[in-house]
Amino acid sequence: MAVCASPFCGKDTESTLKCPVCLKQDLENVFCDQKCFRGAWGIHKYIHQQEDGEVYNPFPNFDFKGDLRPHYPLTPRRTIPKHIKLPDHAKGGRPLGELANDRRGKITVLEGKDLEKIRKVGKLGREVLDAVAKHVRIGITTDELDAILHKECTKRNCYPSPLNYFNFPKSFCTSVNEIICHGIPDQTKLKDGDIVNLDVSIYYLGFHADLNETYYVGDKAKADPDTVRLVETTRESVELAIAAVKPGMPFREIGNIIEAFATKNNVSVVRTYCGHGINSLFHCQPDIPHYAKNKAIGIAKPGMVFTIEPMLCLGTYKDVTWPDNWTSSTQDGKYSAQFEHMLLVTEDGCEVLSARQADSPGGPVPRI
Amino acid sequence: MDKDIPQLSKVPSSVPTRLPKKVPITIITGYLGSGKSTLLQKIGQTSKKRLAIILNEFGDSSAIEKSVTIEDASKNEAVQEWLDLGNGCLCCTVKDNGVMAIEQLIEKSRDKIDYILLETTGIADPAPIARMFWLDDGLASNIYIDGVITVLDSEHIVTCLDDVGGHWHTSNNHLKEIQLGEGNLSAEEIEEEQKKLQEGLTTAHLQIALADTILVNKVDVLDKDPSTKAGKLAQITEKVRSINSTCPIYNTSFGDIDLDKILDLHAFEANSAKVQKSISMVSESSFHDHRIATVTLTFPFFESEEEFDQIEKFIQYVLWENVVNGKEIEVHRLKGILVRNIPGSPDVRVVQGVRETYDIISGGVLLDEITQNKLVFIGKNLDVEDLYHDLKQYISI
Repeated sequence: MAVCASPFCGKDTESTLKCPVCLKQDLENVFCDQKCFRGAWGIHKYIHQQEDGEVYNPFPNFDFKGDLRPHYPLTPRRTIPKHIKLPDHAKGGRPLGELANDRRGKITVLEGKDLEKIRKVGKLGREVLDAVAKHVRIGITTDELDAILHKECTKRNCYPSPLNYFNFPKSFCTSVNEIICHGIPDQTKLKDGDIVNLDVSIYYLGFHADLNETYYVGDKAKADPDTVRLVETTRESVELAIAAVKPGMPFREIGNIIEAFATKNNVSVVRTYCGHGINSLFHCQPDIPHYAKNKAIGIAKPGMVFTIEPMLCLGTYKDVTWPDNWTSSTQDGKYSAQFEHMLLVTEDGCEVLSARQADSPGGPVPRI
Repeated sequence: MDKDIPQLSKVPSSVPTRLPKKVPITIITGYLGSGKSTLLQKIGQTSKKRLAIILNEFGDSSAIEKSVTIEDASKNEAVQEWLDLGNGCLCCTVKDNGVMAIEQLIEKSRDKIDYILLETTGIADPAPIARMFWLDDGLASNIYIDGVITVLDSEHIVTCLDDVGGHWHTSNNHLKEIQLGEGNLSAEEIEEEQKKLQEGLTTAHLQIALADTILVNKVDVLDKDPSTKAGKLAQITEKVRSINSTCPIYNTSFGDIDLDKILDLHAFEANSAKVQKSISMVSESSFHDHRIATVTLTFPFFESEEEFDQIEKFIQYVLWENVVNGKEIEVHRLKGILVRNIPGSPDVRVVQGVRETYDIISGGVLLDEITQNKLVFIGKNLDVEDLYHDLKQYISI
């Protein structure tokens, strides 16, 4: 079963009708029928490689909130070597294991060999993120970063988890400036003064890893007091929350810690997206809201693995989604930053499975 | 190429603007044939509110669009609208798509809707739906859950609740397996339904457990034999009380009921008067059904802040470990009042819970009739001695 690629439909469909232009370009987009296809054509055609090779904005009439625009066409979906183990969403887009698990609602506790495996996957995730982050510079496109990420994954026999997850078209998420999360790598060139979040998720040995960091592009970003305040507050808020993780900590506590620190630094906390459990499933229980006074369920116990990944904003925390149905932007166009770590609860605290290495690119800069 | 075709997609924000007034939502649950639709009609006719009525199958993720009827009694008109539930789920968002769709509907139709009524399917356990609409304050939603109304068919409810093994449910088509069709349920769901039926735990038990008000409807049918009517009604009341003794029960015909008894209940708030009223209905002598019953714990007012922390740990343990005194349990609803009696400025907190979700809300008022701390659990396999046994591990009583 596939999901109809029409932005006006999006229903599950048994149809095998695919867009002929996409097929020629090695893309597979299924539509329910000719009616859905015809209705979607005006938008859909923009994902096709233009013959003249020009870069363009596929949503010219959308009310963008900041200066960032999508720069299409997207490059064709990158291929996965046959020997790499695929997660269940790689084929049809639907993470069937997650959907079934959502009904059960129990938090998984890992033990024995599984712990060794997820540690290893976390470490590889860090290697991949660092390998891509090294290339962040003025002038590089987010699609070029995606190409690098894809190669770094496959060379380690890892599947890039976002690829085709609910039909996400690329291998990781790149979120620039006012983009809160889920930015799609495209022909956008990074420029001096930008901040970019690289959100890496990989699947290996039957487990997912998930981590992200926000990087300054050029020296201009590092010289802007507000940008630095935002990025460093976000970075530190994750550290503060991690310091509180130990057996017995209720998950609802994390949001209280993060929001208190964010408020003190005059930045806001995004509500719409939260941290999550991660193991053989990409996203599962527990839900980890980053805002205060939430009713999150569960307490930390040894063997649980979950992420903390606050998105903080200079202005409003309210979000709006671009017509690509993924890219989440702040409603006032002001910058948003995010950091994510993946944690394993231990007997007396937690282990940061996605921990930075001595030579990891990026890292804190002094506040101005 | 047709470059001049305009862009059509309008993408509403997933966080609606805060309106001065939040719109309440009441969940109406009960079996097929209990009279939910008649009740909805009645509310539509008698209420001066402008209602949005959402029917059936809500929360069923396979459906993309749902219809909503917006009734304006003053103008005597009803409009059909479609809720756009979006295309599938995005990962790791905190809100259900359906909740966001309703928020957008409210925002779009500013001031045109005063109240939302949501009718569940007959086979639905209302707890997941109630939880979905019991939104965190931090989410700044424009809707809030007001309460759960359960409608019972007076003629059949006793047979229904006594149906161990599921014969009555099967022959009257009250099973998920029958109503949804085999292909739409996972093997696990079918197995779970069967297991519950074998235990004699029916969906009606769950609907009664979650109720903030119960309507024993179709009592006119009992008039067929006036000599047995009073006895039958007493039997129903006793049965219902044995499951949930925290909510008012009204006998109705054709859904005829004063609206202030079912709407604007504020059943999920820190209103100590309402919670006190609800939890003081529990009579100590009421008969306990091990399947689903109401159990009350009382203990003295707290003397320190730490005791609040301790009781919260106890609540987390009961709701999240699903074990009390070594026995497996299941909590469906929790209500309570906790007080630290600081002279002059008593600290009064209200406890609310649905399944694993709970909240302890500050800012209650210390009424004269509140004389001790109280926690009321409605759930499966609950035993008052077991609960006290474990409570003593957390606080000294």
